Amino acid sequence: MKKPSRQSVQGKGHTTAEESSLKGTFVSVLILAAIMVASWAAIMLLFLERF
Amino acid sequence: MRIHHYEKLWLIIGSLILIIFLSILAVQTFVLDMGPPSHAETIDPQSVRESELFANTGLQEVGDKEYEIAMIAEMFAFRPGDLEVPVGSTVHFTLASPDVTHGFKITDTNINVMVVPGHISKISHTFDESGEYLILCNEYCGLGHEYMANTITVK
Amino acid sequence: MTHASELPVLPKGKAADSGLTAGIPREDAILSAANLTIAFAALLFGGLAGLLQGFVRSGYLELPSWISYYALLTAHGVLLVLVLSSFFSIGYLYAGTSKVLGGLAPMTRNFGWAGFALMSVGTAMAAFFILAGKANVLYTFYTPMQAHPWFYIGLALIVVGILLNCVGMFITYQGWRKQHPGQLTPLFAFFSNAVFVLWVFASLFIAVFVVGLVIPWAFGWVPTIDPMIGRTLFWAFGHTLVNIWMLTSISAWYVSMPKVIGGKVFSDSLARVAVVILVVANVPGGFHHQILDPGLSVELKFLHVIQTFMIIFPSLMTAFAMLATMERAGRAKGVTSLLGWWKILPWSDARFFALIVAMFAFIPAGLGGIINASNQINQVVHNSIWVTGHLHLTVGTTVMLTFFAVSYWLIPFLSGRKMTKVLNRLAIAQTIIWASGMLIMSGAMHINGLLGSPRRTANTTYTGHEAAADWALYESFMAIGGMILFGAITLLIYIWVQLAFFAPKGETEFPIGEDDSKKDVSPLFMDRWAIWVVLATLSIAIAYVIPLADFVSGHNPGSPPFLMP
Repeated sequence: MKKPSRQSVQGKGHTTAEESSLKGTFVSVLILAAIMVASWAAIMLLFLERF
Repeated sequence: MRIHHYEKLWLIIGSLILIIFLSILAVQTFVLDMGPPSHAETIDPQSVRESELFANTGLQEVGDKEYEIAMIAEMFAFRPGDLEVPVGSTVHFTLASPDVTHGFKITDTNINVMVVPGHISKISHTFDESGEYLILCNEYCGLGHEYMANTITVK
Repeated sequence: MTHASELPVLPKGKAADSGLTAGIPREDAILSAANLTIAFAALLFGGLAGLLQGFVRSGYLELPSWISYYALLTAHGVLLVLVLSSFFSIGYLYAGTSKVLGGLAPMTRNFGWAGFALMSVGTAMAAFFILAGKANVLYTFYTPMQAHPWFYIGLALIVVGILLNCVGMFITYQGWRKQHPGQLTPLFAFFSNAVFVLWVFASLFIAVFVVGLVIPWAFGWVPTIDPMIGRTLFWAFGHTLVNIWMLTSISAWYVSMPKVIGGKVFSDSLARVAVVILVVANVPGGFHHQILDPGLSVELKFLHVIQTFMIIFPSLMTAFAMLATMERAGRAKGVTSLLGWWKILPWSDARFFALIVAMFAFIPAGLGGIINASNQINQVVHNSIWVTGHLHLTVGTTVMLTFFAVSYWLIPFLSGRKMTKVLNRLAIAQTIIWASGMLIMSGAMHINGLLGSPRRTANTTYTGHEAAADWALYESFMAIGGMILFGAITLLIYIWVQLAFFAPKGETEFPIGEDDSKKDVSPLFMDRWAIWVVLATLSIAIAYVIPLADFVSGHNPGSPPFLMP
């Protein structure tokens, strides 16, 4: 917030720099997706086991 | 509205996962007939105890290792009481409530269905393993709710 | 008093958050504080009821004969999921909206106070009949169980009070838009308005149910009631309530968290898209509570499952936006490694710490929700204590910790005081204690649920059945978790009292983040709520017209009342 001019310049162009800067986010959400699939599959297996 | 490349990718991956989940559920429900209990038939709750359907309380053998039973779920018991079937039996349960809403759950099975007054609920299960299964009401039905239970013995 | 018209002219189409005065008009602060006070009292009493339940369920305590386990359970549910959440969201959203829009309109305050009065009277009435043992119907009050008729009048007053608060919010929101043509409302106000739009949808369903069906039946003017209509209308309300809490909570995640960590709002425009999807798709999600009900066809249920799954999508967006906000903040501070930005987040700031723990809790909470909504898989968990565990992860952990985080800036903001280092440390400890208590309790509940233990059931061994014997261990964990949680509540109340009355005077900021992608502003039509209300109505119609038409067509036999007790 201190340097609005610099920030807005950053936000404008530099698509490649920006995209590389969100790799950590992407990796984190992929971990989230893995947990999502694993937990759902576990309960699905329990359902099938009890069927 | 610009969406970051990685966010697009994530939303596509996430949506695909959800679509896969839904597809598995749909195949089970509509092809393999594994959908949730959804019987649609009404009955006047005030006539449940006198109705013909629930008059014959007991297991009826309708085929090889196949049974039917009509049960009344009422405050605070399932009638008739404890049941017994041979291993490998398929049991078709028909349930109705003469009073409030109850839940019909048998532990270690997928049997789990709401018994809402005014409606007849149906659910089936094949008991492949021997043992004494606990049948319990899993919907709060009044101050004696925790006493509403009995068993089905498979041997 | 600051009127909206006196505000400096803001650049077009941009969130108008920065450059306003730190405080808000005194009248607004008092209204907000009044709402928060009731919310905090509800947490104390609702928490106490919860603690006692934990002891009873695990067999450590036997209640005196004048009160039943189910009266405590009713009090716990009504006080926490209805009273606490509605009073808190009103107190918080009114204060924040007053800040970003430069004060509430005078009419808004009138509606706010009238709503507050009705909600308070309604709460007192409902609480009286619950404690008197005349309303052992739990917070879902499924018919044909029947409570004392005046219990329902109390509930109806709460709902009407909430509706008055909705009108109040709309007056300020629309007034600001009229005075600022061509400008987009600030993101916080957009969130607020969305929450109150959802409140209107939720309230209408429950008002039709309580006022139109239950009250005439409870007074004996109508002999019977259809329980299926009741369940359907209740869950249209009940699940909308869930997203009211969530939307209130994620307003702090999207708008305040970036400022707290010294970053920026990842994308103002995408945040609005997530909000709109939540509002449009939300109500039909209520049907996933009825997957095991009779009288609804498999096809209809599957349609509802698809509609419920649509609500997951905005959460996917939120997950990305939160992480991206944090990663960008780290990158701006020079972090280059893939995940190094996690380390330099302000972990020792209680405002952030409570928020991030809330977000982490939303991972298992959200995943549990997907499982619950997964049609036939619902049979594994439905009405088992797994669902109670799920509820304690969603509202009990995700929403509550977010509310606590908000309170760490909202209370000193309203009281004109500052958080001290000691209080900050206590607040961090509170977060850890709360989260561990919930982890132990709801973890045990999830496991017991999978083992078949039912929810909402007083202590029983089922005449010594071995299946029930397996649950005892985890029931002890539930009691231990409950004890830890009550300890956390007392610590929290100490922090709140300090922040409200004793902390050193000073100015506390209401953190409002700035947009990171100013070039990518939302189109102005995003502020035209008529569009979203019409779309939401359409999605409701898709889900509800068939079953409700079927139920009211008259072939469902009615049920006479069964008085509880």
